[in-house]
Amino acid sequence: MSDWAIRVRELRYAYPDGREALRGLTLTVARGEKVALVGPNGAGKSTFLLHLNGLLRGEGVVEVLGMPVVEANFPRLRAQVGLVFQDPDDQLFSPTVFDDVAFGPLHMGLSAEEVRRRARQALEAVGMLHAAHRMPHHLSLGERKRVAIATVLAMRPELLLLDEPTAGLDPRARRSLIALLGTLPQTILVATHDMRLAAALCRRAVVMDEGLIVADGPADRLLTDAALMEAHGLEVACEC
Amino acid sequence: MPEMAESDGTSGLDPRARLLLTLGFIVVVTALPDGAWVEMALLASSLLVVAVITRTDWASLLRRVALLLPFAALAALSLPFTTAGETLLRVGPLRLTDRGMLRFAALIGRTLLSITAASLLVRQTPMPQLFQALQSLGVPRLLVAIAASAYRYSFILAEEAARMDRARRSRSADLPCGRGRGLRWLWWRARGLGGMIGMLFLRSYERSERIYLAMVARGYAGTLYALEPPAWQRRDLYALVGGMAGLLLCLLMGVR
Repeated sequence: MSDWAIRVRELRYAYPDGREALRGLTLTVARGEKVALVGPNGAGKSTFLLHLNGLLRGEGVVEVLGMPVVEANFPRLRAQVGLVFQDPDDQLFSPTVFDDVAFGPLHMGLSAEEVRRRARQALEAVGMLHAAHRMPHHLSLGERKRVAIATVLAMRPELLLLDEPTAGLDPRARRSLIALLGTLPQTILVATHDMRLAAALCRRAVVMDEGLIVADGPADRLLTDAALMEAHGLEVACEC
Repeated sequence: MPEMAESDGTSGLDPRARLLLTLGFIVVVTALPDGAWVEMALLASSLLVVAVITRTDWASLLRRVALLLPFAALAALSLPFTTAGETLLRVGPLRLTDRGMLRFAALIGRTLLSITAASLLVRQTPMPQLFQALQSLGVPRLLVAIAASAYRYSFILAEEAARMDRARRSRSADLPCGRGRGLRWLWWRARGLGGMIGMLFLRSYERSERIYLAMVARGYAGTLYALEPPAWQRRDLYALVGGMAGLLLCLLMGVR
């Protein structure tokens, strides 16, 4: 077993219209690390995350949890890499919260009993077990974000990829989500421009801009580097 | 937002039994011959009993039925004039016949009962349970999944449309062609609406792409799986068999 959760070398990807999204990106993340991927809108953060479970494929080397990201590995990869999309309405497509959390385990081919057990545990972990039989559109945005995280936790992934988990949340929902993420044992790569989330959750930060990694280091140093942050359309995390 | 039932999913009759009984009810109502008023009254009172037991909100149930009834009435409007029989009344070239009136009244009665039964089912059963019932009764999984996601995203689509409409109205305090409401105004509104519909379509299309990615990310590879619903309880089977027997009896009484 390799010690790397993510190993990416010289990854290039261009959109179908020819625009370059990733321009030779190189990054390694060790198992157990929690890393903030910060950068302005359009830096390529979401596009990069989609490469880590094979939803998008570019040129270059991508290895996740010791496996090259190739078609033969997709079933195992997708079971071990939990990707949480920015808009929970994209992630929660089932009639009830429970059905949605059960979707992943069900498609991993687990037994009905195991599916039910995992769905209940995942909902419990995010504090949403009481809403199991509710419909997603009756939940608040913060609740839907929690359920969206439960949908991937139910698959017991080793690596969590989160795309802007705090976007659109009010301060209370945001704080409670950050606290929840802090309790998770998984390796986490979180794409965000919420500097306070990055500072609170991650020891390491990676700054991305225009399809490249432009800085990589301890979060407390990078995120307080006013010149660096300003140069890439970000802001310094305040001390709170 | 429509008033749909939402419960913890454990109370009341099995959704499959409800669905089958409702379908049976509608089949019997449709199969009854014209003029079987006693049987219709029996069926109506059975609906009444169900509504009382389930503590249905009368006002909203009647509102829903009233909303659909004009369509049935419109479709049945020609019946009194086109059915052969004894002439009751002449209106110009049209002849109103007794048999025609009977068929008209019977059709309205059937429609009323069927709509009420279906509304009762939808009001008292959470939609997710109905979808699950359909699936376990053999409706193809993909079809149910399409219906379920159409239901799930109808709310989001409606919210998106409402937001866009609000944004449009907030920017159109003064009409570019003055206060008049002539053809130009209509044309201008129609263009705005057309743009809005196009925009909604594009947004939905993009969303469907993202939903698909979210499904693939969680292991979807072209085959949908679903959890089997809980086993039939004896109580639900008794209710189903008893209800069906009652409906059959009613039908036999009617056709005799």
